[in-house]
Amino acid sequence: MADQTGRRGDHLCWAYTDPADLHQRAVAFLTEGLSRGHRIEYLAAGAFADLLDHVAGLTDRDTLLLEGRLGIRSLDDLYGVDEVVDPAVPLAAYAAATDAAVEDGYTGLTVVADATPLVRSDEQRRAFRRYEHLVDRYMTDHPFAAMCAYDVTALGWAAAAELACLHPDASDGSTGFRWYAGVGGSVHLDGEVDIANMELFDDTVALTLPTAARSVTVDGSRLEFLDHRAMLSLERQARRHDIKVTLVSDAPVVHRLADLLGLRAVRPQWQ
Amino acid sequence: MAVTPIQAGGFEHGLGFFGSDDEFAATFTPFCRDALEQDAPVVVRVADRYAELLRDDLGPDAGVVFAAQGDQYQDPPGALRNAIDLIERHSHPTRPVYLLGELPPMTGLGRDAWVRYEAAANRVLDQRRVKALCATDTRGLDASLKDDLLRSHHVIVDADGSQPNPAFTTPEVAAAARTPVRDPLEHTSPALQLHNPTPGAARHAVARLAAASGVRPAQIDDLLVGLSEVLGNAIRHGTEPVQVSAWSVAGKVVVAVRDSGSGPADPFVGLLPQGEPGERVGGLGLWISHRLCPQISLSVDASSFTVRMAVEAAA
Repeated sequence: MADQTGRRGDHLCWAYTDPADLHQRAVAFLTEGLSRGHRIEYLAAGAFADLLDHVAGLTDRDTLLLEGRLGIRSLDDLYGVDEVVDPAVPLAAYAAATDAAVEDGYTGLTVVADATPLVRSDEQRRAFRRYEHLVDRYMTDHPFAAMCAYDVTALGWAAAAELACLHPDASDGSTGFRWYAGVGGSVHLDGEVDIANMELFDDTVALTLPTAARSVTVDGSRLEFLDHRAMLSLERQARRHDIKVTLVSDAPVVHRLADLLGLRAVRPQWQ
Repeated sequence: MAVTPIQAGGFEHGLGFFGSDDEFAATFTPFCRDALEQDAPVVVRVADRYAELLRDDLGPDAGVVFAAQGDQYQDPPGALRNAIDLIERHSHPTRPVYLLGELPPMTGLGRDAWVRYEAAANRVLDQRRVKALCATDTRGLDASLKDDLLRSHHVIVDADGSQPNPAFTTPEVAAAARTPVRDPLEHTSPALQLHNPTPGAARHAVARLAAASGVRPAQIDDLLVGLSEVLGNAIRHGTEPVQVSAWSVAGKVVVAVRDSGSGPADPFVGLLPQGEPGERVGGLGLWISHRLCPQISLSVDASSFTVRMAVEAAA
């Protein structure tokens, strides 16, 4: 999962239809965490015994559990039914847990969380998307890695895409573009944005565009296609917040469209 | 030369025919002289060899502005914008601006867009005090193209003088009556046919097909942007089923996007200058397609609306 973005596969979205497949992926992700010297944690809805079964594939699972290197927690104990999560709460919890792991001698914390019950309604999802971007930014400079799993059979592909697009890495077919945090307050935009996912892009930018600084760099080095609506969406939102967006991309379409559209707040830049 | 009086405060669009260098001078020198006699600004944008003919007739410092042709006909909406800029730069408080130029390149699918451009000019410039004359070489002039052009020009000028054009009609009718244009490749089976594809799937499939065509990657990129915009329009505004067809041969790629609707109501869609960025709310997709891919045609029949676009390797 290593890639060229500077992110080391630290935040992966897995939109799944087959729980057995998910459990296999979860074990692989946690095993990678172990190999990095991390403490690991598995979080999902359900009874402890069931969750324990999900990670049965972990080598020395029971030993890890006894040593306190593997944590297993049920969402049922953490959140109420249909709760709308305050984005700051899980972020603070993971930051504290990461610090604790380091204090305990581990190099960091790796988590697999199936957060499906927390994103069933539009309101829940909106709040959780904010959290996803916040925690994604946290990961850029902290030893924390997470695989976020979402059950497509419960949510549908469109809802899953709302979450998947906020990850630097996502399961095949779950999202056409990825909008995620980069170093120094920058944002990455990978993939393709066109009429098929334009509304999601517009909404995602509205929800997460960093507006505290006067300017933000959007790293489009892995951007394949951006249509004029997406360019205008960035322009409109940048103007609304009176900021400048530098869009770094070698995709000719970006430069052609910015020129044709006479954009002022969005400035394309070759890599 | 008998010059037809300009419409009150308006735009006069003339079609000037010539079939030789002598006829060029005989047809267009009087147009320039007429402007000079009235002390009106006159701007000439023709190939150097034709400019020389006029200079020979008018004298070196007659007061005619010879503008570089440059890339004035790179694409139809850009050319309309250029024309407006040129007119504004040379406008005179009381006299019309005289503009003499050659016809745009009426070849391939681009003929369709340029024929609409000639009609759109009458709508866009109708409040401007301008006398424009389009120099048209009659050698090899296609009869149907001549008919198309006659519908969009108020007057006809040749070596014998100027006369009102009885075939002139409103810009909307002229655009609607234009001769349909097809690419010859359409007589062959398409290399690719997609039924109700997403824009992404269509872009990827056409990109794969076009990779071996030898057309420059930058041109293929422009075609893919146009395809995406046009297909996006078909999905959003058209009627299913939507079909994308594509042809690719050495040096050329053609795509056609057909939906089962009746197409946009505005005959000049894609051609007209747009407002400020940020104020734009829609209608930009076809404008971008025309700018990036000037080999473009729009056609409507009883049951469908089709946009065709082509890119070709430079000869």
